[in-house]
Amino acid sequence: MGSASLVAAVDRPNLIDSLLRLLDRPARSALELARRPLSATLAPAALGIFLVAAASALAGCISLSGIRLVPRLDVLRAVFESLLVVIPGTTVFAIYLRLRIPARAFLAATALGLLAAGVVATCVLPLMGFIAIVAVKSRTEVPIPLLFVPGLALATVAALSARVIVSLDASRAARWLSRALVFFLGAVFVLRINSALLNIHTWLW
Amino acid sequence: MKALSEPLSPFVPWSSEDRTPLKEVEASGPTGQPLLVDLLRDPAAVTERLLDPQRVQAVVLGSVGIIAACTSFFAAAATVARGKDAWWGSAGLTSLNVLMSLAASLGPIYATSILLAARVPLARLVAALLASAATGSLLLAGLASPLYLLTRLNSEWAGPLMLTSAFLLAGGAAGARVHRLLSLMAEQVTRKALGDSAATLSGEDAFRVGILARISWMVLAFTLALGFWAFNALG
Repeated sequence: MGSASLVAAVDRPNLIDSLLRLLDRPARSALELARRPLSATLAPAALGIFLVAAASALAGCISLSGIRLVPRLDVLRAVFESLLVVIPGTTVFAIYLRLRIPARAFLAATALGLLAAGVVATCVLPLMGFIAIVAVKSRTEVPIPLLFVPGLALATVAALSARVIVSLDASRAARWLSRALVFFLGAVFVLRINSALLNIHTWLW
Repeated sequence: MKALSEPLSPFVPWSSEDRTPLKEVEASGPTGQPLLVDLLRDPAAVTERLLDPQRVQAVVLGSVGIIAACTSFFAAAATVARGKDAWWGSAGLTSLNVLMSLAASLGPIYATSILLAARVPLARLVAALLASAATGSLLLAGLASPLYLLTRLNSEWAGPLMLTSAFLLAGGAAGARVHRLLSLMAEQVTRKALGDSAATLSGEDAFRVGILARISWMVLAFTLALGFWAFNALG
């Protein structure tokens, strides 16, 4: 095919490229993954969770007084808690409201969202290292990398799953469900770290 | 209706099959739905399972599993939201409580069906009740996230109000589902007996099935309320 040779000419397809192509067209990939065995559906999630956890742990090692050996993982925990609380509920309501989204496809969309979150979290790590160097001079009071990396990962999962929902079903109910998904993910995350935010000074040193 | 599609990166060369509308990709999928999807979406498919002697056992076992898992999840979310760490106690107690209440309510419902001259064979009655309770508990699990959110926001007013309304909503859906399953089952059996695929229930039969459905909802709500009061599972 013309396009296949074009791909080979533009950039040689390899493992990373095929993974990124999954993320380029999440709705179609979710439908394809949904038809494969459950392990294949959840495989992107495993990789994504590893990447998110590793990036958050690295960011958690950054503190004002230099590098901390034992990372703070409260925020990462809040991310997974909010996913665990919100995703099952959204799946249930997507089926109950008779949306045209197969349950397995929604699971696959979440798995792809986690993979995208892993990629995004890895992409911002250099910036976080830069901030860690600059922060020593600026004496900023907010532990940006600690909050930002897991928060950004959660936002990526939310945005990608919401995009898949809206792509697969153009109805009004689907739009509201995607908004509710984003809202509840963010709200549970913020409320979960809320108590930790109040005594933020313990995070800095 | 416009063709469903998703935004694609213009910098990547896409083949023509990547550009086909999403609906066609979806339509080529397998047709058989798992029990969990049928329970939530399609009462007619559940009725078919109930009337098929080979599949009714799978409905019963699957529903019991779904009820246990979903109510445990809901109780765990409610407990964690209130800042307690020991969620497994309330999770186990809640699912046990719901299953025991279901078992206790079966006898009165069966007796009612005999009194109403609308006797449902016991195996089918058990399966229908479990299937509708499973629908309710699936919705309950779905309402865990608003409950978590509101309990965190305000554990004195918003949390308990959300807890109550989650039970009311799930209970309402389960009650509507009992009614629908019993009516569909009566209709299917009547059709098969008469050999007429267009036969419907007579007004009098539908009336008695309706009473049976409401009584089953009421008895189940009563035993559940008693159970939650006595075991204090979510306290």
